[in-house]
Amino acid sequence: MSHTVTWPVWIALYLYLAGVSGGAFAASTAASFLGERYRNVTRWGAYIAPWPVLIGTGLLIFDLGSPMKFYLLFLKVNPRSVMSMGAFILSLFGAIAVAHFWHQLYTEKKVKFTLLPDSLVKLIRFLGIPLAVGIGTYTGFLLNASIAVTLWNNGVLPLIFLASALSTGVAAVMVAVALSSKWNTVKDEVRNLAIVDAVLIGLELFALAAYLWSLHVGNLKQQAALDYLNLHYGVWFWGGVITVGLLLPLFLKVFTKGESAAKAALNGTLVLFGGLVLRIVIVIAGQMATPLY
Amino acid sequence: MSTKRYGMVIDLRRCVGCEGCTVACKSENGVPLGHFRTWVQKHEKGVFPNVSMQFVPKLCNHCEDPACVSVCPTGASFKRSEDGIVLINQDDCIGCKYCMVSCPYGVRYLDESKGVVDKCTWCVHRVEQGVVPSCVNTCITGARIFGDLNDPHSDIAKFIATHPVQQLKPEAGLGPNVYYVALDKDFNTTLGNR
Amino acid sequence: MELNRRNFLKLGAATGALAYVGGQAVVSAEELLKGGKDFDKKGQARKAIPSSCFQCPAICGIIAYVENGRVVKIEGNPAHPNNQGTLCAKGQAGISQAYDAQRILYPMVQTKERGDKTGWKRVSWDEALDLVARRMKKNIDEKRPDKIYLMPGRDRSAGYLARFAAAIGTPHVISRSGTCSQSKKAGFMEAWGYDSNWNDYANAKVVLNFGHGVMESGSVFVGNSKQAVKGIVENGTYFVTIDPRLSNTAAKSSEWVPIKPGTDLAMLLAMHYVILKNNLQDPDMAKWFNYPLDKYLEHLEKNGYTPAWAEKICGVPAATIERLAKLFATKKPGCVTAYKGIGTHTNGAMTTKAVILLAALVGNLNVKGGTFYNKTASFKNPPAPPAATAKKTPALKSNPLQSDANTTLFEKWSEGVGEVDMIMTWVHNPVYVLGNAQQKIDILKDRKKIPFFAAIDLFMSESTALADVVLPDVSYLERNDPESHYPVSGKPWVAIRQNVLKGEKPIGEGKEQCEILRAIAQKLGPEYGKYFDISREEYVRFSVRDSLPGFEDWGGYEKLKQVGVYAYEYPTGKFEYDGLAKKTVADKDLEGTIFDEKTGIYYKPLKDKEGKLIEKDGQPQPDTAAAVGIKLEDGKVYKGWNTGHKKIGLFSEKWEKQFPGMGLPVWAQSTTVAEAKEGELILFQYKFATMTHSRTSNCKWLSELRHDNPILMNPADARKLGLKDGDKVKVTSKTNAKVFTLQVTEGVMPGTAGNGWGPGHWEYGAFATAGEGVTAEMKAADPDYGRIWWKEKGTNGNWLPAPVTDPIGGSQEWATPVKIAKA
Repeated sequence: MSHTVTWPVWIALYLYLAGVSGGAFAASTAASFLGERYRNVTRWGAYIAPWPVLIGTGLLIFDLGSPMKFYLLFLKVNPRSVMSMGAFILSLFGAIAVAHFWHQLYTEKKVKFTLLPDSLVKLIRFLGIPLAVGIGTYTGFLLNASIAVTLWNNGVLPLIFLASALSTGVAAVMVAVALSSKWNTVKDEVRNLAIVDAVLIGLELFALAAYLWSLHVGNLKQQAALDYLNLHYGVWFWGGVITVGLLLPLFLKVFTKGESAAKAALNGTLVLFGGLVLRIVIVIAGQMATPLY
Repeated sequence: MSTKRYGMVIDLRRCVGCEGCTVACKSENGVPLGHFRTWVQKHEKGVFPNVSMQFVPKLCNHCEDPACVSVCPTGASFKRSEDGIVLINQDDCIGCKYCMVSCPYGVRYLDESKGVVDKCTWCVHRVEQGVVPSCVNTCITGARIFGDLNDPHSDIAKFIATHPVQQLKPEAGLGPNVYYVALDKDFNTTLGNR
Repeated sequence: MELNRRNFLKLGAATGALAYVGGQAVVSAEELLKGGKDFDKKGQARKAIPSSCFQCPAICGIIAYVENGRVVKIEGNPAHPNNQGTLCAKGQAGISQAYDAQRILYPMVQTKERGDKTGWKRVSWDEALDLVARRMKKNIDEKRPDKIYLMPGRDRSAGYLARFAAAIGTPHVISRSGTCSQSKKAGFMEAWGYDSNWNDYANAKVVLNFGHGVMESGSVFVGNSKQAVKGIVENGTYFVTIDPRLSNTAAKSSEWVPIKPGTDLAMLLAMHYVILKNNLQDPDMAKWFNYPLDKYLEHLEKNGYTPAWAEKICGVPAATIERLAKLFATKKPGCVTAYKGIGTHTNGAMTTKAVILLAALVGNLNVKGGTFYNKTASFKNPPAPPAATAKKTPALKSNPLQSDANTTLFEKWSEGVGEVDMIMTWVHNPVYVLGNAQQKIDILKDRKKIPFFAAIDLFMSESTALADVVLPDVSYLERNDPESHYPVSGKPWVAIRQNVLKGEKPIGEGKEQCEILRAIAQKLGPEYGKYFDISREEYVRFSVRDSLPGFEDWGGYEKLKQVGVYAYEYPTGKFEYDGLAKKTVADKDLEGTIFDEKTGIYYKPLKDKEGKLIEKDGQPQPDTAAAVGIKLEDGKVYKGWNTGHKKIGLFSEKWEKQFPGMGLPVWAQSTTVAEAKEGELILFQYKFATMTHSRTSNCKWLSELRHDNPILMNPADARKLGLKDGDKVKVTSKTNAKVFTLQVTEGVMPGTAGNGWGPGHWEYGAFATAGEGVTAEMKAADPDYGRIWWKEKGTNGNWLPAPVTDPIGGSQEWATPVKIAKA
C-alpha cells in the first residue's frame, strides 16, 4: 500500500536496459549514414542494441503476476495506456534491432543471408533515431502517467530518460569500440563519441536541474517528495547519479588532457553506472516517497 | 431505466474506529492476509492536552475517470456503464501492476495466489441482488451510506444535497465517488501522517 | 433455517423499517436492503441462521451464513434491538473460532510434566470423562466436594453450571469478574441496588464518562455507539470522557479530560461538594438518600474535598472539575457511566458508588436521557438438585464483603488456605487474565498444590496448556444457549444461540460445555444424572418459556430459532423505568402487606413454596426480599429504589461494619499508585476495539489488525527518559519485568503509561504468536497460515501487576507503578 515497492528493481533494470538498447541503436544507425569513417560505431552499436532490451523484457515478464499471460498484451489494446502502446513499440523496436544486427553480420560476411531487403535497409536506418527516441521517452512516459507517484508524475521525466537512454547507449558503444581494436584505428571515432556523449550529458544535467527545480518550487506534495529523495537517497542520487555518473565523465572529457582506450572505457563505464543508478533511484524512491494512503 | 451511478458517503462524525468494516470485507470477499480492500486510518493531531483524533475509513473510490482503467494495457480494469462500479476482469489481468502504481488512493493489491490484481468491488455480487455492500451493512453507527447518486430521491443524493461533503485528493482529478462528511482538511493531504 | 420468502421478509422487514440511525430519509422503494441476506459470488443466496455472538459479553444478535456445510460469513441480526443488524470486527471474525486449524479436536491427557508440549496423548471421550468423574467421585465419597473448584471464565449456561455444582455438592464456582466488573458491581449495588447501568445516550444533554470505553469495548459497545453517536451528532449531546488516554471514545467526545489512574474518586468527591455547596442538587431527590444531604455536605467540607484539593491528586484542573459539576447539575437530563477503568483499583467500589451518587444527586437516574436500568429476560430452570451442602471456604476471599474469591484465590492457595484437590476450567485463562501471571503458572504447574486440573477448552491457551486433561469444547457457533443481556436500547430481549452447523459434518469430537457436564454427571451415577436427563436443546426450550411478556403469543421457542431474537417493547414506549422508584403505590396494593416501623417499608408476607403463610407467634412475617413500597417523611408511599432499604445508598452500613469510616464516601488512595517512586510511571490497562482480553487473538483478521500492544507514553516523559517512538523498552514493576515496544503519543497523560490488552500470547496458536508453529497441514487447511506477515506479537501486561485487590469490591488493582528504560 504505502511506503512499499510495487514495481521492484527489475522494472528499473528493464527501463535502463531498454534505454541502452535504444541509444546504441540510434548511435549505430546515425553512424551508418556517416559512412566508413564510423564503421566501428555502426558495427558495435548494431551488435549491442538487441540484447539489453531482450533481457529487460525477460525481466519484465518475470515480474508479472501471471507471466504466462503476457501474450495478452498483444491481443488487447488500450490506446490510453502507455504500457499497451509501449508493448507494440517495444516489439517493433526489438524486431528491428535484431534485423539490424543480423544485417550487420551479413554486411561483414559473417552470415550468408540477411533478413532485410535492400530497399528496407535505408528505411530502417532512417527510422532508427525516432524509434530510439520512442524507446527512450516511452519509459519516461510510462512513469509519468502515474499520477499517484509524485517523483514520476513530472513532465521533465521523459526528457531525462531520453537523454539518459541516448547517453548510456552511446557510452556502451564507446566502451565497446575503444576496447575492440588497436587504439589508433578507433581513436577518432571514440573521440567523437565522447563529444556526443558530453553533449548528451549536458542535456541530461539540464533536464535533471529542471526536474529538481520543478519539485522545489512545486506544491507541498512535490516539495515533500524532493525532501524524501534527498533524505533517504541523497547519497545515491547526488553521489551516484550526479557526481559519478554525469559530472565526473564530463569533467574527464572537457577538463583533462590525453586520450586512451582505458580513459574512454572508464568514462563510458561511469556513464553506464550513473544511468543505472538513476533509474533505480527514481523507480524505488518514487514509490517509497508515496505517503500513507 | 436511467443508468445508475453508485456512490458512498462516509460520515466521519459517526465513525468510531471499530474496524468492523475492515473485517466484514475480509470475510465477505475472502481477502487474503496482507491485503485490505477497506481500512480505517487513525489521524491524531495536537499537543497534550489538546489532542484530537479522527478515524477515516478508506476504500476504492470507483472514480468517474479511474486512473487504473486508463493505464491498464489489456483493458482488464474497467468501469461498468450501467452503474459505474469499477471492476477487474481477472481473466484478462496479467498482473503488471501498472494500476497499482497509478492509483493515488493505494486501493489495489496483487493477489499472489492468483497472480492478478484485486480490489474493492463494492460487493457487486450483493448489490446486484439488492443488498448493500458488507462494509455498509456492518457499520455500527451507520456512518456509511450507499446508493445511486443519479437518483435524486435516494438517501445518498438527498444527504449530499443537504450536507457539505469532501473527497480525498480531489486535485488528482479522477472524480472519486466516495464522499466524506467532516473530513479534517489536515488529513486530506498527501504528505503522510500517522 | 431455509431462507424462503417468508423468512426473508421477516429478516429484511426489520431492516427495511430501520433507516440508518440518524438517517434522515424514509427508505424509498429503490434503496438496497441493509442486511439480512448474503450471496456468493455467483449470486446464489446463502443459508441464513440466526444466533448470538459470544466474542464478548455484549451478546449481539448475529446471522450465520452457511454454504456447503461451512459458516462463511457472520453478520448482525437486523431483528436485535441492541446491534440492529450491524456487527463489530470481533463478531465478524468469529468464524476463526470454528475453523482455526489448531482447534482442539479430541480429548487429550498429559502424560508427562504439566506444560510439556510433547506429553499430550489423544484419548477417547470415555477415558477422559472417566478420569474427571472418578476424581470428582473420590472427593464426593470422602465427603469433601468443597475440594472441587469449578472455574468458568464466562458462564452463559443459564443455570446449567450452577445445577452441576449443586449436584456434586461443591460451593466453589469461581468466576473472573475481578479482572473487570466486580468492584464496579459492588459500588453500584450499594448506591442503587443494581449492579449495572444502561444509558439513554441518544437523549442525554450531558454525559460524564469516567474511563469507560463506551464506543470501543465493554458491554454492548455496538449498541452504545449507536446511541452515543446519535446523541452527539443529532441532538447536541455534550459528551465528556475522563480517561488517562485519548481512547477512541475520548476522540469522539466533545471533551477529553485527562486524569491520573485510580484517582477519579477525588474528582467525584469534589463534584459532590460543588453540587451540594452551590445547592444544585435536585430538590425532589433529597428525600431519597439514606443519609441527610446537609450532613453529607458537612462531611465533605470537614474532609476538605474541594476541587483544589482534588486537582492535586488527580491532575484535573480545579476549574474543570467545578465547571463539569455545575454543567451536569444544570444541563439535564444526563448520564454517567463507568466500568473497568475506575473499578479496578483498591478504591474501585468506593469510586463507582460515587458515580451513581453523582447521578442521583442531580436526579438523572431512571429518567429519559439519563442513567437507567431495565430488567433482562428471566429464565426458568427445570427442577434442580438441592443447593450444595458443603460450605465455602470462608477465608478464600479477603473479607465477607467481596462477592467472589477469584482475585484472591491464587494468593490464598499459595498461602495454604483452602484445600484443593481438583479444578475444572471453562472459557477461562487465569494465567493470562489475572494479574501476576508468573504466580498463576507456578501454582497451576504444581501437582502438590493443584493435584488434578481438567480444562474444557477450544484452544490450547496458556492455562489449558498446563492441564492434566483437556475436554474439547465447541465454538459458540456450535452451541445452544438461551440468551438475554444488557438492554441498552431500552427494550429487554431474549435470544437464541444455536448450533448453526446442525446436520453438517462435525468439525471435531468437541462437545458443548453443557453436554460435557451432563456426560460427567451421568458417569458419576444415576443419582447425579437424573438432574441432567434432558438434552441441552430441550433445556433451552424450557428456559425461554414465558421469559418476557408476549413471548409465547409471538411464537415462543420455535419462532426464536427462526428469527433469533424477541424484543419486548413497553406499552409506555422504549423504557420501563420512567420515574419508576418515585411512583406512588396505591392503597389497594398495600393490602395484606406488613409494615416495618423502623424502616418505613411495606413488605409482602412471607410464604412457603405452596403459597401458605409462614407465621411466627401467630403473626405473618415480612418477606424482606419482596418490598412493595416505602413511606417517606411526607407521609406518601412510594415504590422505592432497588436497594434493601429502598433508598439511594449514600451510607453503606455493610461497608461501615467491615471497615469503620468507609460507610460514607471517603477518599482512599489506590495503594499501588501511592507506592510510586520518583521517576516511575503509572501503568494502566485498556482495551482495543478489535480485541478482547485473551480469547480472540486466534482470530486471524483481528490479530492482523492488532498484533502488537506498544506501551503508550507522552513525549514529555519520553524526552525525560531518553526514549523515542519505536524503541524496545524494558518495563519493570515490583513483580516482574518485561520488554515492550514503545509508542510515543500526545494522547496519554504525562506520568502514566498505557498497555493494551489482547496481544502478548505465547500459546493460542499461530495467529496469536506471529506465526509460531505453522505446518504444511495448517496451510493446506487455510492458506492464510502461510501469509502471517507480522513479526510482532506484543507482550501481555498482566505479568507486571502485583496481586493487590480492592478490599471492598474485590477487583484486581490494575494500576502498577513501573520503571521504563531502553531494553
